[in-house]
Amino acid sequence: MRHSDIPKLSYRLFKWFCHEDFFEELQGDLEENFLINVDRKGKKKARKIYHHEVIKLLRPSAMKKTHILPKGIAQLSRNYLKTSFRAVKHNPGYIMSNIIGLAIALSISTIGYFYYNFNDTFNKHYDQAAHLYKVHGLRASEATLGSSSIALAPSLKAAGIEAMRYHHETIAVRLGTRLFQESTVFADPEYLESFELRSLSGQKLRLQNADEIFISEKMAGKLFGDFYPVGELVEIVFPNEEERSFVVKDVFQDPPQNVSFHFPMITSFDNYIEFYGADENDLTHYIDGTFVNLENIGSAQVDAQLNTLIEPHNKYNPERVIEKFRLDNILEWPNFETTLAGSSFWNTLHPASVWGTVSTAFAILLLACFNFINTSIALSGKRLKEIAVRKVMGGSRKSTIAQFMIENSLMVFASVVLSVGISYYLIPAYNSLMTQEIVQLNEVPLITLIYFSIGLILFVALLSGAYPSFYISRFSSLEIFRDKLVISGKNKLMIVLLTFQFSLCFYNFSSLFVNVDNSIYQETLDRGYNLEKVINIPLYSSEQLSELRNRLDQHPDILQVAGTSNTIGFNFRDATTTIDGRDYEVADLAVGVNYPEIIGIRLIKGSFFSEQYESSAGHIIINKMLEDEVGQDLLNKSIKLDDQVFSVIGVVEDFNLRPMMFENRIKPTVLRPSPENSYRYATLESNSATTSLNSEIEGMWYELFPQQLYKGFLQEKVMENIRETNTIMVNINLFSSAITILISALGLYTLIALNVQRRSKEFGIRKVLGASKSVIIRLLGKDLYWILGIAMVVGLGGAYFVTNAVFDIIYAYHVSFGFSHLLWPTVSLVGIVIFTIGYKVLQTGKMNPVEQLRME
Amino acid sequence: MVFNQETNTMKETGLGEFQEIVLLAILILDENAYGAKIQSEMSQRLGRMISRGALHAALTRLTQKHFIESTFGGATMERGGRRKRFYTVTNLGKSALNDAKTIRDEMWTLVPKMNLQ
Repeated sequence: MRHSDIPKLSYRLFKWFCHEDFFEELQGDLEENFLINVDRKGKKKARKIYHHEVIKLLRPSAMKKTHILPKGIAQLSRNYLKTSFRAVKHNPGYIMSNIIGLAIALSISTIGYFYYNFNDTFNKHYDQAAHLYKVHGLRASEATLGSSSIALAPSLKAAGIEAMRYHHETIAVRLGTRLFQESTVFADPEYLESFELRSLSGQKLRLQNADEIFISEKMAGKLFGDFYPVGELVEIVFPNEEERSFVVKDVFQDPPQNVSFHFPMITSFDNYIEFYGADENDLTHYIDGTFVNLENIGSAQVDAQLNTLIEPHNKYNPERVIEKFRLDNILEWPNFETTLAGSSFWNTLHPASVWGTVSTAFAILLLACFNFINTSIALSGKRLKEIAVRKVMGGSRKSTIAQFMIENSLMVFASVVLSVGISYYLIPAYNSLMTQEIVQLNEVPLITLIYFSIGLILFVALLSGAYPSFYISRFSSLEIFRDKLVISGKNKLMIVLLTFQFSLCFYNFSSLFVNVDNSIYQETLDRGYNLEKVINIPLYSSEQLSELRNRLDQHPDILQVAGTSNTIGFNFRDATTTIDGRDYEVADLAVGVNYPEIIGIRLIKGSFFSEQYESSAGHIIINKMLEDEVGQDLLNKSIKLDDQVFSVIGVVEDFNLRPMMFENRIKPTVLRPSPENSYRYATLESNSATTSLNSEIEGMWYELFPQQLYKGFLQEKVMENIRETNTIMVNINLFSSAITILISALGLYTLIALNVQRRSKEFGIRKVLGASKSVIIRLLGKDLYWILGIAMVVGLGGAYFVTNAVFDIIYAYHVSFGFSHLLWPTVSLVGIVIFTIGYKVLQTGKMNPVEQLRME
Repeated sequence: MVFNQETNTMKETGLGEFQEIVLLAILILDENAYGAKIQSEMSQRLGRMISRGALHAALTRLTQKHFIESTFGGATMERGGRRKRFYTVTNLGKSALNDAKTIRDEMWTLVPKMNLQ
């Protein structure tokens, strides 16, 4: 009898291991406590406590005294263990290398598991996740709208639907005399009811007054250097330059990494309305998102209400006409967040990166298992006589299989224990390689980890233990005693497995070389303009430029300052230009007159703009690509853009408009002078644009405009994404190459060493009969040439296709797979193989035949 | 107090601190001393969660040392009809407790006051 709420699995586990004399008492006590806990702490917590209690009762005093197995078998299994330990004692080196290889692979599997888990439990942190939906605007041909108007939630609320607004803004927080750029979320009180936020002591937080703010643990440390600054004031400067103090109401726990909502501060949505001058009924004012809670209402009812809002939306938003509103559950939406227009929430990892990691982890685990199988077979070749004796003495085949299975399980178990230790060091190292912390040990419930490792042990023990056990137990004792049976390196399975291992090594090495090469290529790729010497400073109004320019001109390192509306690398406009009656799609950049010189675009013919806007108006500069597309010399010709006629005064070399990833290739482009009153950036050229220069300029900025946040950034920022991607790609490859080669080299060494040991008499006789050193070496390496040859073709071919496909997706321009990417992996891998086994082979070749034959 | 004339040392009572607290909890609870109650009493007094497993180990040791005895009570509904096992402290247990207390008291009086401030 079990109370229906008590966790079934733990109960059965407990019943199974608990001593009969104590079960009634202990289960009674656990059940009594469980019911009390359900009342006090809730069912979920009570179940968790029950699990823990059962695990803590796993101690000799409470467990059954008779063993799990009947007495006879218990005696037998003790003998199995004894034999197993003896086997380990005889070959400690080989077995240790096996265990270490497997342990490393198991640690990697853990990382693979975390990647899978990251996406699998995305947003599940919120208890009500199943009822929470985000409103999206479906459009006919354009991307679905992720943001929604500020008026949407109030009109839903009026219809009795629990809707909430969520919006983030980057604002300035004052600390002493300096301003810091921080992100703040403005949300309706209902948001915190549905997406609960917990205080440090686990209490649910509620937004009540507009002058209160909640800050995260991290933010508390950063702003106040105190982890519980409740009651302190946070000074915030709003865009209308009004400064306002907020009282820190409480500090909230930072959520796990895999949720969509991350913010250092949250306050009432009313503040947004007040300080950004928003009108709650303005259908053209867009905010990050509108969410609804469908716990108490049917989705059909909400859909009906949303349908009535389509028409007014389209009336006021002619450029954002939608077909209908769609509700997407917050467990689904992060998967396609990146495809939404105007949305900026955290999303799930790209499936390619999850499955890439999982399959790499799986491949490494397979590799380690194969290695394990190979070594087990090779090792058992030495124990043939033992098997024969067992059989003659009446041991059944079953008992032989059991012996080997137990031995293998023991080794796997040792690997699991070791892998826990390795993971402890490996995971922080791995996280530091990545830009996002995906592996978070503390976010995964203990019980999940336990299931995971039990599953892993069973899987690996069966996979790697079964074959050797069955294979070896098959031989008849007579054959063994007559020495007729030879398990040589000729076992086909062993060769196939080793080939697979080395294919993987070739694959990993080759992708490593290509990736390293590619990241150098990306770094040195000519972008068509000057990347290193330019800093851009966003302006709040175009009048700020002259004041800023005067101040900046005094700095010795700053050479020139220009105003501009668009900056290369960060923004442009898609436009259509008409030349000789034909239309061409171009990117249109409105720039300051001396901007092209400062940014370092290279002129082919004609000239740049003249110093004054007035004399440059009506002029335009085009890039080479546009001229090539039109197919004629366009200098001094006139072209039409937005019904305005411009005359081409210069043709420049092609340059990149955006960070060069994905589809961001070079486009036909026009540059036209922008009037001074529409300047949005100050762009400056310096001797070398460094972060230290940027912070010097920041200091100057605050002298001039103390109430406005400095947002200056280096032109080099266009490289940020690509550098991040390159680092990750190179690191992952480095990591997996190192591990595959380590495991394979260990395995290969073991095989060769065992082969040498077993065939030492053969080699001795060959030598006595006149075989030279080189003959012996050739004999030992014979199979290896084939294995490496086939592995090379498979591995390098695979790397060629996979890296090309991946590069095409990720990069606009990338290196192509060349001869050197085939040569260097081969040279280095063969080098490592020779280094690993060379000594052993040479030593065998040199050995005195007397030594080899004198044994026994 | 048990004093060994030959070695001139005090005899150890064989009572760990945790076991001592278990004994005291049983005495406090008197008639109502069974597993779950002892566990909650101890958790409350010590200000931390005591697992049933830890308690079980202590109770087993104490029973082996004959410091406590136990009998089954009647079945109750909230335990799925399972009986409670009630524990009582034996005379041997009580004297061990007293010994432990005496040893401590004695040692406390020997600590110079200065060193405690």
